[in-house]
This record gives sequence, structure tokens and C-alpha cells, in this order.
Amino acid sequence: MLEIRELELNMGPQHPATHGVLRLILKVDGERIIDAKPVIGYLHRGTEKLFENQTYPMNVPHTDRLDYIAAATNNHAYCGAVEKLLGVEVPRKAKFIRVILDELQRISSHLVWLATHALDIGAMTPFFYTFRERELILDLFEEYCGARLTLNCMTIGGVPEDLPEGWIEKLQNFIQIFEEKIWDYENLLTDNRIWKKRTIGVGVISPEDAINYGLTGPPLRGSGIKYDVRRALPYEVYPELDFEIPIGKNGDTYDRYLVRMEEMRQSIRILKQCIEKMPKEGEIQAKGLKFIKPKPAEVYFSVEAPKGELGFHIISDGSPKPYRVRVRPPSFINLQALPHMVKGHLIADVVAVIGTLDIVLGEIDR
Amino acid sequence: MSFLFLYLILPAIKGIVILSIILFLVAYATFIERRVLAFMQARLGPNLAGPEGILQPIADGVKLLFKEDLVPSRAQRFLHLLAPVLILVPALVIFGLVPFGEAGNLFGLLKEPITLYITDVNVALLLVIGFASLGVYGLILGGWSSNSKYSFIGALRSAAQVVSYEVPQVISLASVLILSGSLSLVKIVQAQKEMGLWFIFPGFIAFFIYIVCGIAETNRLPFDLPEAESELVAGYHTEYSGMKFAFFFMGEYANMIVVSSVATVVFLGGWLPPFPSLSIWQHLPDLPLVWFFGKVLAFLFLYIWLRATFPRYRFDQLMDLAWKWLLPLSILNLVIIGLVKWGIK
Amino acid sequence: MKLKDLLLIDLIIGLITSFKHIFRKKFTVPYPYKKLEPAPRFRGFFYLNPSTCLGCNMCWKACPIDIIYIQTHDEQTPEGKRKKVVDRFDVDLQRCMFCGLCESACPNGSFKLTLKTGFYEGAVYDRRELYFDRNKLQNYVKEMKEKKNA
Repeated sequence: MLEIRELELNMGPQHPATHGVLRLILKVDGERIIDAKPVIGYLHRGTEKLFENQTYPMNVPHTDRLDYIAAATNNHAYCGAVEKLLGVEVPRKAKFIRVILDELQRISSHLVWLATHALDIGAMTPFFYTFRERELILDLFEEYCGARLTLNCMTIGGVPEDLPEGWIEKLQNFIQIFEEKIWDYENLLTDNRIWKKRTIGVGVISPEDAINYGLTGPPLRGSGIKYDVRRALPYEVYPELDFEIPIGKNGDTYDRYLVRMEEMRQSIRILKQCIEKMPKEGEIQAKGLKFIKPKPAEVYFSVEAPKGELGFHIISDGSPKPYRVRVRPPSFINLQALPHMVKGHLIADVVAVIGTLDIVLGEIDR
Repeated sequence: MSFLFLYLILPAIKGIVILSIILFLVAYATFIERRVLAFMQARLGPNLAGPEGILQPIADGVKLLFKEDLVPSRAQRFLHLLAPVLILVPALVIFGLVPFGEAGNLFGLLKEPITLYITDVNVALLLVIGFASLGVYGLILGGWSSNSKYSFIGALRSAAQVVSYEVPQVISLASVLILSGSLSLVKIVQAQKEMGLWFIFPGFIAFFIYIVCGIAETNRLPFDLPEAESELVAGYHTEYSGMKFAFFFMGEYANMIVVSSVATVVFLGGWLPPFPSLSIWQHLPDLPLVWFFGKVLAFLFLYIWLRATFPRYRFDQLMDLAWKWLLPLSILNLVIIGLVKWGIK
Repeated sequence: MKLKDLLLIDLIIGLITSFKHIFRKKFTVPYPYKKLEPAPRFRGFFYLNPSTCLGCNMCWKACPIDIIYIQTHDEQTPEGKRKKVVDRFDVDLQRCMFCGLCESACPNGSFKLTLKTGFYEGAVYDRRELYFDRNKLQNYVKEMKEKKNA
């Protein structure tokens, strides 16, 4: 008997648009997606188990490798969780340095997102323009902590080093350059009719669904829900800073694009305020943290990573090593919504949706 | 003797010369593309092979020659081999019909002027369209014979795309036929000379439609769906390697040059300078080849420029554009041109 | 259908942007011919002065992936004090992730174990060459820098 079957298309783990090693099993009818099934685990390194076997300070460099394009926020979330466990207050200057690093990291992560997202949709040039500016951010990181990608730029109780001389001027220079260059991307994409056609109405997720799936970060805000950990569960000096949380209206790819573009501008605004308000002198490391041995307790601490809410759940049993560390990676939870978002769309939309969710497989597989 | 010379040896020599010029241009089109694209993207591009990288195409060719030629195990071997040939050869055949100039003595090299084209058929434009659409068989066979799902989807896309974009393209060319009254490419250029105006001015809409369709037919951004690398890996040539891949690559660039040449001849006056009836051109040296290839290179630049700027359309949107916008527009344009021509008479 | 859409203004803005970049500064650094200097704090290859090492094992304790191997024995100094002497100080750079925790753990003032040598071109043909013992930790970077400059 002849029967009609859907074509089963295996997208990834080696595929140019799956942002690493995501594998999607697509059922397609012609070009239309009937079902999509993400298969993950190709980058599993057992990081959570690794955390259990090492002391608290030794775990900080391992968090770099979770979301490897936004290492600073990972460090921040982990260090924040341990500080909450210990009940340590971070010195004021260190808080400002952390916020500056976070926001720079947010810009750089969003630049990588924009580059790959645009490349997936076929616009090749924004890739090079965004990486040009990202390079400046990486130079700033290199000058601050000595690494460009896996930063290890925070310690439990503060930051490892003070800002080097002339760093603030370089940051101001970057801000000036970036405010000008962001128009390059906008000119190429925002009004472009092809870009709009490819993104408007693609991968729509309603506010209810977005909450039900547990989305955070730009995918949630794109649906019009004003949830940002920086405002909802304030940490460090964010309550003192003045910034907006951009939200979208329709929950489609274009709205998420606009949200992220606006977030980059807001990050610049935060950076400017930080430069103004940061104390010139001051401690950068809390005292009494030579040997970390917390009391038995359980904490959850989360920060607003570029991709969403990044949380660390740490259980301590009173030894110098954590009993259990559980990471709540934003990409992992955002990826859940992918099958829902691509159903009924075309193959070309799958890559657009993967791009707009801004997933990093290092964080998903851990 | 002179008969043999006129109808056998001279066309053969011309054919070899034109073929080598075109293949040279194809090779350097890849180089120009890489360099210009790099400049538009704030980087340098290949600049190490030779001064400013001008030996890069040769290096690429040598590298591709020595690459292992892989054929997927379940592929249709014969068709897999045939597909790259089918895509390059029709594109090269077209250059037998393209007039590069009316008559010239090649900058004083020859005593008697010769015609700067191999042959002038009175249905040349039809032949060009026919040969250009033969190329799609290469894509379909290549995609189908490699027995890969990505290749197959790419082939399906290309079939649909080329077939639907040929319709508005041919209709837009038909408006030129109304203006010139001939299908011969040489006569079309001569008609522009008589008119004293390139056909782009009366037929701007037709020109625009032709360019859009031409880009779509050659599978270039923003219409490069058959080989959309972020969706289909490399589309119909996913499973090709080595020199076979190079043939696909050369076929793509040869097709770009075909589209540019036809646009040059039909809309931009071929070897004619702008506003050929102006008296100033009588005082300046007549440089048909310079004008012709200058225009072709300008078109190639446009191709690269578009690639550097635009995202890619989606498959259904591409079809929308062809059937809902370009086709009605081209028919409307045909009617307008017809009325104008009738009004002039 | 607005006039703005009909005139393809959005596309033309994009075309102008990419065209302008032909004349802008290019950002490529042609690597082997032109090298970027790493920042002073750049975490690169290791340097250690074995004669000043106290053998306190702090770096070994701090290392998250256990790639530092130290062996010491105690000796009597002429004054009758006990002193630790380092027999073995190896760093297995094959596995190092250059996090810099060992450096920040080192208590020994200005002669400390450091990663801030500014040397990053550490590619080798045999990866076993990246197993650094005491002598190599002291001399490798200096030798390689001289070799690269020559």
C-alpha cells in the first residue's frame, strides 16, 4: 500500500543555523512544519556534578563555560548566590563594577545575538558590524580582568581587581562609538521590508503561553510582560539606577528584535549612570572570606542575564563544597517554547525562531 | 577558402577567445565579489595571494582541483556527474549569441574590422531565454541525484523559483520587443541607437522587473533560497565537492554574467555610450568593448551590493512577490509601452 | 501603500549604509604580519621563579582542575630553622583554562607565580610539550619571545 508520510528532516547537530549542537527533528509537509522536537545533550559536560566536588571559589571559572558568550552574568549569578548563602554584603564600589561588567556583557551578548540572527535570516553584513563593536567590549574586558571570553571576573564577595587606570575613559569612548554605530544595524534591518516580512508574525507566542512555558528575558518581554529580574528582584545597585524595561506588543520575532535593540540602548544609559555614581575610592572585596564554609542552608539567587533569568540554587551541607548546585539556565527554558512557536511555519522560520530565542547550548546542556 | 575561413575558422577563433574571456571574468567575478563584499563589511578580504590578492582565483582553482571528489553512496552517479555540467554549459552557450560590439578592429590590432559577436540569430532573445532556463535542470538533477533531503528541498525550491520568475522576466523583455520590433540582439541595440536613447528610459519598470527576476533566477541574495546556507546547509550542492562544486560555483557566476550581459544589451544599449545620438561621441574614440564590459561590471557590483545589504526572502514570500507583484506589474508595463508605441506612430 | 514604500526608501537606506563602509576604516588585523599587544592584565602563559617559591601549596589548593603538582621536603637551614624546599613544581598546561585562581592565591609578593607574561602564541606540535616543569616555567616564555622576535 502506498501511504503518505511526512518528510522527517534532521536539523543538526551539525548545522550552520542551530547555534552550536542543537538537534531538531522536524516533521515537514513540503516546507511546512508539522512537528519539531529538540534533542539536546550533545554538549553535556556534567558541570553541575563538577560543582559538587569543588570548593565554592573554585567553581567560579566553571560558570564561565555555561553561557560562554555572557560569562560575566554567570559569574555574577553564582557569586551572588554564594554571598546570599554566607550573608555577605558586597562593597559599594564592587557593586558598581559588577553592574558595569553585566551591562557590557549584555550589550556584547545582544550583539552576538543580532549577528547570528541576522545571518540566519540571510543578512550577512550586520554580523561584521556587530562583531566590530563587540571587539571593543572584549578589549575592555581584557583590560579589566585579563580574559576576553571566559572572564572569571568576579569573586565571592566582590571583584578580583580594581578598575585599571584610564579604563573609565575607554568605556566612555566605547559608549560614544556605540551610540553612533548602533544606527548601522538599524539602517540595515529595522525598516527593511524583507527583514520585516521575515520577522513580523513569525514565532508568535501569546503572553499567557509565554508565562506558562516559563519564558524569561526578551522572549517574555516581547510578548508584553514587564518582568525583569533587575526590577522584580533587585540586586546590587539597580534600584538606584534609572532605566526602562522595553516591552513588545505582539510577541513575534520583530518585537523581540526591537526589545533587544532597545535593551542595548538602556544598557548604555545604565553604564552612563554608573560612571557618574561610582565611588572613586573604596573596597572591592568583602572581608573575612579567606576560607568559605557556609552553614547548612538553601538559597536561590537569580540575575537578569542577557538571555533571561539566570538562577543558581545552592544547597550547602556545612562543608567547604556545595552539596548540590542547580542552575536555572534561561536558554534551556526558553527552548521549550520552540516546538510551539514553529508549528505551522516554514523551514525558513525555524532558523528565525532559533535565532530569536537566542539560545546557547553550553547553558542548555551544562 | 574564404568561405571556410568566414564560416568555420573565424567563428571558432572567436568562440575560443570569448570563452576564455568569459571564464576569466567568471574566475575574477568570484574574486571581485569577495573583495568588494569584504570592503562593505569593514574587513579586507583575500589579499595575500599575489599583490592585493589577484592570484586568489587561481589558488582557489588549484585547491578545488586537488580536493577529493566525494559521491554519496546512494547517489545516482551519472546524474550526479551530469548536473554540474548542465548548469555551466548552457550559460556559456549563451555567449555565442551576445553581441559585444557591432564591428571593431580590436584597438587597431586587425586591418579589417570584424563583427564582435559569434553569430546573430534573428530569434536570439528567445534562444537566450531558452538556454537560461535550461540551467534549472542542473539544479534539479543535482539536488535529486545526491539523495540528500537538504539537496532535495533546495532543488524543489529552485524549480519553483526559476519557473515562476521566468514569466514576469519574459513579459518584461516583451516590452522591449515592442520598442525594437526585433528579436535579434544586434537589431535591438541598433534600434536603441536609432532612437538615441537606451531602452531603460522608456522601459524603466521593465528594467527593474528584469533585474529582480534575473537575481532570482541566478539564486543570489535576497532570493538565494535554493542554497540558503542557514536553512538548507548549501541547498542543491550540499553533497558536491572538489571540481564538481567548482562547476556549480562557476555556473552561478556565469549565469550572473549572462543576466548582466542581456540586461546590458537589451536595456543599457550594449556597446553604445549613454545618449548615443549626442554629437560629443563623434569626437571621442569608439570603445564598444569598454562600454560593454563596464556595464557588465557595474551589474556585478550591483549583485554584490545587494548581497551585502539584504536579508533573504522566505519561500512563500518569494512566490508572492513573483505572482502578485511582478507579474501584474510587468503586464501593466507591457500595456503602457504598447500604448506609448502606438501613440508615437 | 505609501509613497515611501513605493520608492523603496527602506532598501535604499540600507544600500547607502553598506556602500559607505567601502570607504571606512577596515578592522582586519592581518595576524602573522601584524600582532595586537595583549593588555597588561592579560592572562597568558605561566612564569614562576622557583628560587622564590615557598612551596606553600596555595596555588595547588586553588586550582579548580588540579593541574599543579608540587612536592616539597623540609631542610634545616644553618641557623637551625626549618625551611621548605621545592622538589617539583609542574603545571600541566594541556588542561589549563587560564582562570588565574592560582595567581591570586599565591602569597609571595612580587616574585609570585604569574600568568601576566603577555605571551599567548603557545601552539606546539606535540601537546606533551605543554607539560611545564620548574625550568620550563622559568625560561619558556622568555625563550619563545626571543625566538619569535628573531
